[in-house]
Amino acid sequence: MIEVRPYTGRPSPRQPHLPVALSMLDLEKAAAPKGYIPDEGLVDAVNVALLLQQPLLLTGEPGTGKTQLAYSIAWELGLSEPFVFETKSTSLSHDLFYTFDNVRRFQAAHKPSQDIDPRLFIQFNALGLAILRTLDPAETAKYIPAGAEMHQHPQRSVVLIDEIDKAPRDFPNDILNEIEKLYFRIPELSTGTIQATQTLRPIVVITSNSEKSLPDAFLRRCIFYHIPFPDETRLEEIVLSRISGLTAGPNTALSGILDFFERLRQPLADLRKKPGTAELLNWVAVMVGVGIDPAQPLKSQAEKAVRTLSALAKHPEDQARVLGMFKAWIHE
Amino acid sequence: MQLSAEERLIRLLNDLAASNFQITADQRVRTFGLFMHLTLEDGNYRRLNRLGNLLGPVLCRSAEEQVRFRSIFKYWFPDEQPPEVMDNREDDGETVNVLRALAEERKAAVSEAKQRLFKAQQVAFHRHVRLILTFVLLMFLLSIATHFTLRYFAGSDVSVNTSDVRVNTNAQQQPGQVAPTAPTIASTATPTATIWPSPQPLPTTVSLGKPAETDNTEREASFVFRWWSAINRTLGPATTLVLMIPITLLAMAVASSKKLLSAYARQTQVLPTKELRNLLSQGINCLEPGERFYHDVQPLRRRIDLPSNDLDVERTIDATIAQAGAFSPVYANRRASPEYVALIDKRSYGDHLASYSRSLIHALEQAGVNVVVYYFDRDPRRVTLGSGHHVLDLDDLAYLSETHRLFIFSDGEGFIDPTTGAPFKWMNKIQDWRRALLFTWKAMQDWNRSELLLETRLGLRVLPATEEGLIIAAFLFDSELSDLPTSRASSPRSFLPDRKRLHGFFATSGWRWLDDIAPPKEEISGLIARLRAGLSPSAFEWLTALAVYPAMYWSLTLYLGSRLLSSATKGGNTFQSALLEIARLPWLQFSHMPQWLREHLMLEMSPEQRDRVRTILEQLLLTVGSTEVKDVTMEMGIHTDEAKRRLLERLDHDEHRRDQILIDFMTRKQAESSDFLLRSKVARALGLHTVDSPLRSFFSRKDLEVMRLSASEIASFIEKYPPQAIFTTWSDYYPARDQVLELTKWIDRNGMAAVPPFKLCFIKLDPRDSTRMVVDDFSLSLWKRRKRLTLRFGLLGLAIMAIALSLYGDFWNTVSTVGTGILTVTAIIYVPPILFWLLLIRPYSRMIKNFPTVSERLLGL
Repeated sequence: MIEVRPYTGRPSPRQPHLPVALSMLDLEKAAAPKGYIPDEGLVDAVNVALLLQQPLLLTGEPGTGKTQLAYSIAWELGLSEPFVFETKSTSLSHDLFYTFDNVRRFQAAHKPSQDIDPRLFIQFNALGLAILRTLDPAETAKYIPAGAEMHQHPQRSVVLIDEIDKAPRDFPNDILNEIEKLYFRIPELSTGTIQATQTLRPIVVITSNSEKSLPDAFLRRCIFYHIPFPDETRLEEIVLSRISGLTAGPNTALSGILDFFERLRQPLADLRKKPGTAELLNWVAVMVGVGIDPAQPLKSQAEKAVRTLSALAKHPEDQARVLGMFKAWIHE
Repeated sequence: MQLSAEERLIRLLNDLAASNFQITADQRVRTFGLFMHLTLEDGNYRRLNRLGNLLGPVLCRSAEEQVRFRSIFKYWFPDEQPPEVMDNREDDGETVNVLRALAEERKAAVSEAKQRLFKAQQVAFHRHVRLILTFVLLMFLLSIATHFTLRYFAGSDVSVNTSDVRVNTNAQQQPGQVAPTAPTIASTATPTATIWPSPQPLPTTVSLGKPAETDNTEREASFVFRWWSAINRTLGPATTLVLMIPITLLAMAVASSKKLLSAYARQTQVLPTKELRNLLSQGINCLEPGERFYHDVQPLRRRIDLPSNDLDVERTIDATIAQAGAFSPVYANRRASPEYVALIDKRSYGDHLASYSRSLIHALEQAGVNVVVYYFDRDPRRVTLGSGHHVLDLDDLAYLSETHRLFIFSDGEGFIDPTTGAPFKWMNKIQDWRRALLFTWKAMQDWNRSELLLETRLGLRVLPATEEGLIIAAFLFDSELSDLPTSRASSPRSFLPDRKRLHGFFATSGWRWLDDIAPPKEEISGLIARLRAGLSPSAFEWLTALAVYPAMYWSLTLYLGSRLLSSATKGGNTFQSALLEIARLPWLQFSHMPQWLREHLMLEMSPEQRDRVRTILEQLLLTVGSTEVKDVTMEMGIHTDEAKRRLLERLDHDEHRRDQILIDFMTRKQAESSDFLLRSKVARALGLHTVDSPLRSFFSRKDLEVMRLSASEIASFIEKYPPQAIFTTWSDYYPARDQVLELTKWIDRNGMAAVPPFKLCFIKLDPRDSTRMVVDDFSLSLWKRRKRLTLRFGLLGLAIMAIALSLYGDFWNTVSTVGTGILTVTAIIYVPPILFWLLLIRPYSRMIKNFPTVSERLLGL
């Protein structure tokens, strides 16, 4: 029989014969788009972006749900999962649409007898895929290898360009027209412009942590919204919608959690990394996992709660500070 | 006239454009398209009460703009009222109900606002009426007393009965005839008595016992002048004039200060108007570099080669052929715009040097250079991005931006280990950047071993933090010189004597001049002399002008400079160099100037300078608008924290917003250095001592009650959490920060309406002084009430004078010359207050000075 147990740090002299099963939290609900609760301003911003058919640029503290919005839009509008482009500091403009594997192409060139199909070395990326999916499948055949099927009928997609501020400054400048008119070219195939069908233009969501300013020309082509950090009522709503088994109300564990969380976010806490909504959800999930009684005040279950604080602090000095603050909070 | 929704939308867009929103034609088109769509389409937006939410994302480009947009939007679409374009639409019942409900809500809000306004006006009106009535009453009492005294000493048996008095100015007049000129009261007992220096023979008769045979109207008209005539005749015109001078001056002072105060008080809750923005932009424009700068820094934009993971196909083919078919990849360099990381040394929130550096970077950005700005405080191992939300280690930053070029704006003092005299080891991390430059704020003549060490040990090239410095940097990067010419080598040697070198002076003693506790007078004089000698005349004038306003703002500093510096000196680099001169001073670095220094600097201003500064500030203050938005440019003081604001309001009502030095300056009065009465008030309110004194009656019960409550709250807090030491300062960065944070937690836990101790205003121990004297910003706030007290004492003096005048009324008969008369009147006016001061107030103030302080009593220090 497979043993289920947590890590204790006190190993027995003999290793178990079979790997033990781990008690893991079911975080599927916490990450599910159906549990996403946007604020009113964000809903309006999304609708404006849809109405004007422009990319939606989102900024806000880490953990405020910028990335999750794309999944929420796709979920609510009945579209497939978003195509995600994770921006890197080396990203180039064409990476957003496709990458061409030159090394493999060279390798293939070593076999002179074969007729090389350059389409084999192309990998379409987020926005490229989304644009191709708006076209008729027959039309896309000239861009994909023979026999491959990308989609069965034209459809709209959601594209998430995550953390665009990590890209080099040239990146947003180089995609101004492409992102406005939703087209691209593949010089390696010597084909013309591939442009999205107007009626099925992809919904583009771009996120930024504002670590770098974006060029004005790029901003002008976007619908902008800064997601404010949710207040306590909304936080409660978000937690309840994403983590099951909790109860709201005064003198419950959740009220204590939110109270302490709010304290951590005060400037006086002086944390290097202020915990965001994502950290809160993780913390709550972990507390549920360790068996906190939702109906009892958190202070009365401090012994269990203190073991979960590592979910809130991301720096060594923050860990000590959070622990100290928690102990002080308990004794109030 | 009510504007239509479309008109309001146009004005909204115009206002946004005036507020530096970069609204393009394309955005305008989209905005109107969206608006029309929303007004015509059915669906979720029929109510249009979320119009702001919808337009904001189209027009904003940053979080800061998003906040500003809401405030401006609310102005044109207050309470998110649905535009009336909807009112005419035939709609379903739900929409009509919503519109009706919103209209009702709006009506109620307007009504409530009107009521509040009316109440406020009432209070203001009653205050003025009380003031005027007090004066009138005093004058009335004065004349009554004089009249009766004269009667008494003249031995008259006349009893005055208003109803029985008949006024007659001429013995020859027929009975019942009304006096044609100013009526006077005459006595039959002193028909020939003349009161000096009466210019006219006195009337001779008065009929008593019978009602005057005049009609009521005429009698009432003459009654108005009767008392004036009595005073005039009793004292004589010259004496009356002398008497009226202080009264008039007092009334004028009260009236003018009221007007100014109301203008100043508005500043705490205002959004700068368009006019204010225009005025402030004058200063900012002075920092705008010339066209040549934009041209000269273009090399900073020139594309550079960076390594990439892409194959260089052509060269790979050549290499592969050369290797007899063995695949030999050659990776291409990618041409990319160079990116820059700027680290700015920022010592405080309002650090002018940091703002100056930011303006230089802004100029670079305008020239198309890509710069990401981070801030640090002396030690760059931890840097923050803008608002401080993103904290990064230098290691992380180096990893993230290793291909970037590094600009550091600092004086570099924090990079040198004071114990070894060498750069800190962690500064080696700077070498991770291939190209790094230090733009120093220090004047070239002040460059010393630090700059040399940074250049030689770390390869950190040092350039002046000026436009020229940036142009040199562009030249260096463009020519890709491996061995950059050392700017220091070509820098002019210093010919300034040591006494004129301000850098060294403030490097060793900068912190002490920031303290709110005034140093001895000799030291202040020495400081002022050093400033005068070390700064250029225009910079010194600029600094004295900055002393007038209670808070330091970058935009205000620029504005004052732009107005003060003559057009001859303003152009080109003179403005910039004068700005740098003053920005290097510790008060501008920490955006705090203590009161004592402000007072002394203002004394250095010539009358012409005072007039000029007064005019400039008046012009500025009168442009301040009055909306509810908090993003204040011309905010007064530092009271932005809500809890602190509430606490201060309890302590001092609205007066904490007023700065006495500024008001005195604007009303052409000299500020006083201390106010013993307020100290006594604090002491009494704190329960430290009770002193029975008639002065108590001069304080209103309400004031005392407010003070008592506030003081007891403070005292109970200290008793509950006795601090070992509390230091407050003008910045978050100071040695006792940890203790202060601990105290903050106490306050926080206790749920008190207090603020972090580094903003704690009412308790302060001098870190240098072993006696641990309580510095009472608390009493300072009370000190601001001294105008009210002055008024009360003024009234008291007048009352005393009236009594004295009555008692000495007999003396008039013996006065024979004009000179003696004036001297006598002057003595009557001024002797009682002087005696009052010497006999009552001075001993009292001495007693107060010996009170134990709060710290002595509660902390046992």
